[in-house]
Amino acid sequence: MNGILAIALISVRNAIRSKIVMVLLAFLLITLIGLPLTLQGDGTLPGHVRVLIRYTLGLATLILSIATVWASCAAISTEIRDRQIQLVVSKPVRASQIWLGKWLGLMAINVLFLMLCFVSTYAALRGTTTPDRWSDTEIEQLHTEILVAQYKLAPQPRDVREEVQRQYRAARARGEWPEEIPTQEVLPRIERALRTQANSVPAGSSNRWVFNVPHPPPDDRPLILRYRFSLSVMDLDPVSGSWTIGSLQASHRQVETFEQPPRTWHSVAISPDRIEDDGTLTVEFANHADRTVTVIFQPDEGLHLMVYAGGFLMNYFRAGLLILFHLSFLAAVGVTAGAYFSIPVAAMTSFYALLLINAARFIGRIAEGTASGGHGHAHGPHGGWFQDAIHLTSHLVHRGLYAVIRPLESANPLDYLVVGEWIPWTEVGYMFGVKVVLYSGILMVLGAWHMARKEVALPS
Amino acid sequence: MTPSPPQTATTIAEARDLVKVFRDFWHRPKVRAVNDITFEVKRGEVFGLLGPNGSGKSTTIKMMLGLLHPTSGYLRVLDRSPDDVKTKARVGYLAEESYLYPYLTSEETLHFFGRLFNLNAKQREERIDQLLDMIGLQHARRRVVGEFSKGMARRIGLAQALINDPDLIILDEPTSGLDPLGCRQVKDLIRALARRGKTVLLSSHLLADVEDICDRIAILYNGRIQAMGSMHELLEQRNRYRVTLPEELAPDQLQRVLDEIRSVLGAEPDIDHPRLDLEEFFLRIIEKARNEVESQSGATPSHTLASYLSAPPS
Amino acid sequence: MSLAVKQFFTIARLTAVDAIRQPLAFLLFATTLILIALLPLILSHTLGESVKFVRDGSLGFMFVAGLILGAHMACASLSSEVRHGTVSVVLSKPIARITFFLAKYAGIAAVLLLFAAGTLMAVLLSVRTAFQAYVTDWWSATPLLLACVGAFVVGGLINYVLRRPFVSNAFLSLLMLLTLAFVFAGFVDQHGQRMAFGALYDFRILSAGSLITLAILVLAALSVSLATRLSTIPTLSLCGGLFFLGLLSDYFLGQHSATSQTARVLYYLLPNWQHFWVVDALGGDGSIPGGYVFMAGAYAVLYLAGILVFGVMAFQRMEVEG
Repeated sequence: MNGILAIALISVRNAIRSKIVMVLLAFLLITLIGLPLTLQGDGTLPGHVRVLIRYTLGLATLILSIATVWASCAAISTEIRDRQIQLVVSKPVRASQIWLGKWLGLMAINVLFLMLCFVSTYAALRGTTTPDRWSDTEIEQLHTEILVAQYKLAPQPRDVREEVQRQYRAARARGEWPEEIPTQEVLPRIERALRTQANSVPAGSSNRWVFNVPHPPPDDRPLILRYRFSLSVMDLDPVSGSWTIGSLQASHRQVETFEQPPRTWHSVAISPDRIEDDGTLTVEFANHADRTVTVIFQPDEGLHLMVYAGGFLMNYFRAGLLILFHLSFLAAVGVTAGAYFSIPVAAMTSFYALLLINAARFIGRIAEGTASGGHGHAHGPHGGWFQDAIHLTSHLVHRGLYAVIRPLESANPLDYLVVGEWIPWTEVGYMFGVKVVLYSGILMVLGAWHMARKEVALPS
Repeated sequence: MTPSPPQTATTIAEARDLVKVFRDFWHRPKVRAVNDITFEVKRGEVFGLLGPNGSGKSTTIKMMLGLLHPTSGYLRVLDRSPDDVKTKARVGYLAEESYLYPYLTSEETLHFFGRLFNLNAKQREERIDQLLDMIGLQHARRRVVGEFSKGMARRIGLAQALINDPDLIILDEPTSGLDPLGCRQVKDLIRALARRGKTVLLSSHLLADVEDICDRIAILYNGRIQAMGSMHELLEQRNRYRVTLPEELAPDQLQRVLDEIRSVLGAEPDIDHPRLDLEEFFLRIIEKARNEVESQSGATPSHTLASYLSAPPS
Repeated sequence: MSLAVKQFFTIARLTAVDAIRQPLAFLLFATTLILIALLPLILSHTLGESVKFVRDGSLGFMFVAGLILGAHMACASLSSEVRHGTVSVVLSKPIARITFFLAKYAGIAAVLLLFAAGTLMAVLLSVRTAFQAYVTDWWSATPLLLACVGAFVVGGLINYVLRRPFVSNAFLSLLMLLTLAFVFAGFVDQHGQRMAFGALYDFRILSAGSLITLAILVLAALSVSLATRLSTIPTLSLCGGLFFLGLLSDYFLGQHSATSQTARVLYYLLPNWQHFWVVDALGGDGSIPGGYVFMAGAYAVLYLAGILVFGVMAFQRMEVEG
């Protein structure tokens, strides 16, 4: 343990004195101070909060991520290049201790900088959302909708599977889709169209959605219905409509009429006593537009209910932890890459690896796409076997790759914060297990295994 | 200076038929750096590997430290594999260049290496104090190593090699980068360590260094041992004699001695005035100058061996 | 030929040779080409109308990889040489510092031009592969993939048989095989029939590509100039910062330049990368007007000259240790 701590301490000291930390600090301060002064937002209080959290804190963590990858790649590879590693390896320390020491040193710096970013952004958040700058309504809205932690509920889905199959068969029979377009290209399109239809409200009519609310909030915490709609026509003029919330009994109903523009987020605060005894909440949207225009709520994201689950500060802390776990994973990637390669090659390898991880969903789609033999007709100098071989290889590579990187897939925690969405502790625990324990652990084994076998004193 | 003989015959390090081949990407042999060498280092002796550049000295040393892996052959250090951390705990190593962290101070550097040996804070404090005193860098304990001259960095390198009170001290070109004064101090230090019962293995291409301090040497060339034995065995010319006469010899007395030799041998003997070697002469001049003006050297060693450097159990 | 000119070419050649012997140069070149070659094959599984994605994506890869390559070579050939003392050895010879500095840049620029030429050939081949939705043109995809794989094989064979460096030989092999693939595919249509050269290549891409090349050359000049005074990490950090600011200069500074003197000065001083990224203009049947390319080229040349003057001044006064 003493050896690990000694190596960690020396890494921190080296980083501070070699001015890397100073350069990083300068970049972070420019971001944390300069960005909020330059970016104006959209003039609304949520827009201002978005600038502070998504852009300022987002850019600061991006800078920290890039610096972490670079510094971690350099951690072992520069010592091999400059040969200090010869003195360390000739002492009674194991390769795993060297790896862990380097990783811990980087994480110590990351914890400090991440704290600086989060604390200063929080101070800016508190200091700039005061009643002398914004109206009481805006501040109240901020505290009920953004500076809280709410879990997000989607309305009960409508089952469209049978309808998708029926329409697919009909469309094929009519020859609407050419044969070379594979089935897995067509089905999602039909399903998307049907879902959009189920979430559409033509002028003069209405549509109803039901939410299941398993854990109702305290009485003083309203539920928030968030929605964003687009129109069947190409304009951005406001549309008039109304929300009827609660059961059909008049005493339990809440009616909100509005005239709102499309393609921006809107919200309605709902009193918790609108929830039925069986835990459901019904909302009905009526389109009162005086022109022929259909209101369309995007099937996945366009309509959801936010339910109070806790305070903002703890959620903010959990977001910080998630970012820290991600940084720890980045540091592990870099330290291991640095044990194998020289700095530039290690940095390039790490950035490609991270690019792949960020493209996880895309790779998953390719893996699915290649499963059925890919696209149809092709021109080429080779027979079918060549294309089949390429498809099979591509499928296997993508499937394998996806299996490895899928557990690392995660949403940006800052995206949760700007909409006041609850980050569950289970997510924090899962990410700790996956990114810090499992993947960093595997990377440590790979790095230490290689270092233990590597001849660090080969003539250059 | 007369080298002291080995105290016991226990083997501290042993290499048999040791071979190291550097290979290219395709695993084809590129260079045979060490070619079938066999030697033993006994407890308490100063053993020297002597040879020109590229003769395999450093490669041999690096295999003994686990920094390189032998291609074939048998290699044991302190009765274990060189890769074993238990072996490394009893070895001190000075590399051919002082590969130190440039942004750390002397004190921090020594604390770092001390912690790698799991020494507690009190032990480290005591040892660092004594070591800095011994190498003459007490005044530079808070200066960063990157600012040091090559000689000063070398001294810190030597101090870190001794921080764990090692049983075996491996020194790769210990006097490289040092001025003549520094060379002498390091050589005196090595002798003092040997007198304390430490085993020292050193490599050098400087003949004077090896001659002054080694009990036994192996001469390497092209990866092979060309000659090996004690300095005495290797350098003594058994068929020739040297007679040293008292300093104050009057010319007529000298003439009578020579006549006697001529009558006995029936041949003319060679006669000349003894010379100092240049190192001896240089050191005398510096010593004289030092007494007159304050030292200009970056280091002022105490000339005393750190007291914690213990004699190993026999 | 005067001595200064001879010295210039000697140093430039040496810098270029040294640069293509760096593993990163070949790895960046090869991975960029492999990504460009795979883009149409990957996208055809997921999206229709993949021409735009392939064109934008592959030119994007070229831009980013070129910037990294330029910055890396600048650091490797100046910062590292200063650190290792190589510069002091060369400058102890009768060589003017201005010759040395400009030759260093010329060597780096030559490698970047090779990189750009190779990448643009790959982009043309890849865009042709993706030209028809849901249909892969294997007569352009196969030669490109074979060129990428072949470079590793040829580099490896040369290394094994002749014991010459793998990296530089693989780099040059890649360039040569790519040219062969480009010429071959240029004469063959999607059914394998002979046709007039280049009928299926979208040569409008070349104007967008040449502007990206200019941007890469400008950033490389910035890196070389900074590397005269700074070590690797500060040079790369500053280049990254300047790249980022240059991308957003219209947003951050352009909107304030009418009201703020400082914003205006900074707006004109910082390189504006937006001028060099005009790929969007190629949508549909659009093209980039020759006049625009000329003006952007003139901007780049003037900017380049300004940076190099600054670099020469910084290098003239630099104290070389080692």
